Amino acid sequence: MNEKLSFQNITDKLAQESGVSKKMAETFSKAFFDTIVETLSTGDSIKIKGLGTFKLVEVGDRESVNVSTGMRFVIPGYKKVAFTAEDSVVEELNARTEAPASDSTETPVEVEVSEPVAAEVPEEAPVEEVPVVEEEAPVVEEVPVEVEKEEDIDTLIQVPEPEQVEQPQDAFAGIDMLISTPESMEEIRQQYEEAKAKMETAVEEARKANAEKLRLERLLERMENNVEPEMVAHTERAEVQNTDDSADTAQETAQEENSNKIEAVDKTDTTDEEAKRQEAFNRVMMEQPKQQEPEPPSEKTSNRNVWMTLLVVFLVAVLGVFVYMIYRNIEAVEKVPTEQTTKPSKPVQSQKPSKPAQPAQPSAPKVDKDSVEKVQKEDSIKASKVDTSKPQKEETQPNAKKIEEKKQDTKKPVEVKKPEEKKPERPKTHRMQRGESLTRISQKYYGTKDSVRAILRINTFANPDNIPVGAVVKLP
Amino acid sequence: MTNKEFLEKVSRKTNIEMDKVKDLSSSLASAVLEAIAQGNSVTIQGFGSFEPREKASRRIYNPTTKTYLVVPSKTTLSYKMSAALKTQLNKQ
Repeated sequence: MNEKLSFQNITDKLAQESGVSKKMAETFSKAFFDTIVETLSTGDSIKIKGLGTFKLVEVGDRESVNVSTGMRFVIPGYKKVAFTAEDSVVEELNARTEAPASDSTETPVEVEVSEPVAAEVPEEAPVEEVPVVEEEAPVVEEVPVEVEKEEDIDTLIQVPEPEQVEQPQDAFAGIDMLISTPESMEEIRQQYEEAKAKMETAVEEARKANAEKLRLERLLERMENNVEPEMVAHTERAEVQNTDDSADTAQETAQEENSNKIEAVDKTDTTDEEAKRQEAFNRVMMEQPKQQEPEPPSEKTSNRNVWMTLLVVFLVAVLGVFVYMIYRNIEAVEKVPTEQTTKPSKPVQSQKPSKPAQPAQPSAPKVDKDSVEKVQKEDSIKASKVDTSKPQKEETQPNAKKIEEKKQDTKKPVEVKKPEEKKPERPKTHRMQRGESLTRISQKYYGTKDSVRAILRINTFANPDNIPVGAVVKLP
Repeated sequence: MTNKEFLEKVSRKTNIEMDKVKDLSSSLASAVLEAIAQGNSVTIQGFGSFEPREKASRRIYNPTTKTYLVVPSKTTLSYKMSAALKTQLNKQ
């Protein structure tokens, strides 16, 4: 099996089988293969009965790449002998290889190999047990070693874990102790409340001062500019008495005041910041002598930040309200002379008085109730206009949303209806025109070429590829 | 070149009768085949080597019937020309 037989072996066999002398067999075989080579070298193919066909095949030049250098080079073409075995040869080969395999040459071997091994185990128990034990023993030894290693690893891992956990626990406990001590907490709260009160008072004072200054400045400017005395009087009344709500003057004054208030707000910002800085400085001064705690300062800074953000939010909101008011007033002025041409403006104006209180409440938590109240105290005009403007703002927004929703509602059904309407419009038949094909029809009526099959299913064409012009095609 | 022409050529070369050459040729082929069938490879110096080659079973697809068929594994006779023959053939 799998031997490499040489020329000599074959000639010997040939001599044996055919009863010819070895010498003759050898000369014949030699001549046999030489002639094959000769005929092949002439470029002819040769067919030998009982073997197959030898053919000379030319292999063309081909390019390849040197893997190490990456250089391209050409493998030159050459001639080679191709051999195809005769079908009868292949059949015979398979018949011969299958026959011995099934007859009990190969399979029994496997059985013999497998069975004795199983049988020997019980019979020669003492002999085989020794190696088995030897084999198992090292395995058993290895296992505990691994287990020990794992245990070591576990212990190594476990040891640092509790330490790491304990350290933070201690740290937290210390912080908790510091925080939980009633004295320090109360002191901090007291400090915080004091600072808060100081800040509030400072802010109020600053705002009042600024507002007064601005009023005085405004009056002086108007006096200097010699604005119409009536207007000045109106504005004065509006500012001082807070009762004049006449349309024209109120609008004008509101606009003027808005601009002034914006300035005032800006200035209050600066004063607020100053007050805060002082407050922060005071806090630092108060804290340093008492205790050096890690968290309280952070709490205060966070509180300060919260206050800062709240103030900023409030100021931004006030600015937004005033800007909106100006916008509203301009709109109103424009709409009144044009006799209220636009419809959506009407409900907004009519709803203003009806729901003033409700929207004001939701707006309050966003800002800061206390700060809003302060501003109302300072400038009642501002407050009154803030109150009136807020409902406007918040009513118009929902109104706008509602309108948008309505628009969307109206749009959606329209969009849905369109395809429904299209379907019935599709004709049930189609008259073929010059240059049209079923694919084109399918594309035209169904948008896809896939409906050609559906069309073919309904119709019967002599030749679907060549339908005569004017033929009526049913459409599914 | 057909088998007959080939045998005539061999007969002329070896001065062996045509019938004898026919017998010898067929017996030589059968000898080679027998050796191959036993799983051996036959190497003839200056010509090449014959050896059995197993082809694995494969699945083929018939596109007209759209069915898959399994071609069973089989052994074929493969031939590889020798290096000497290659040089001789490519000399010219």
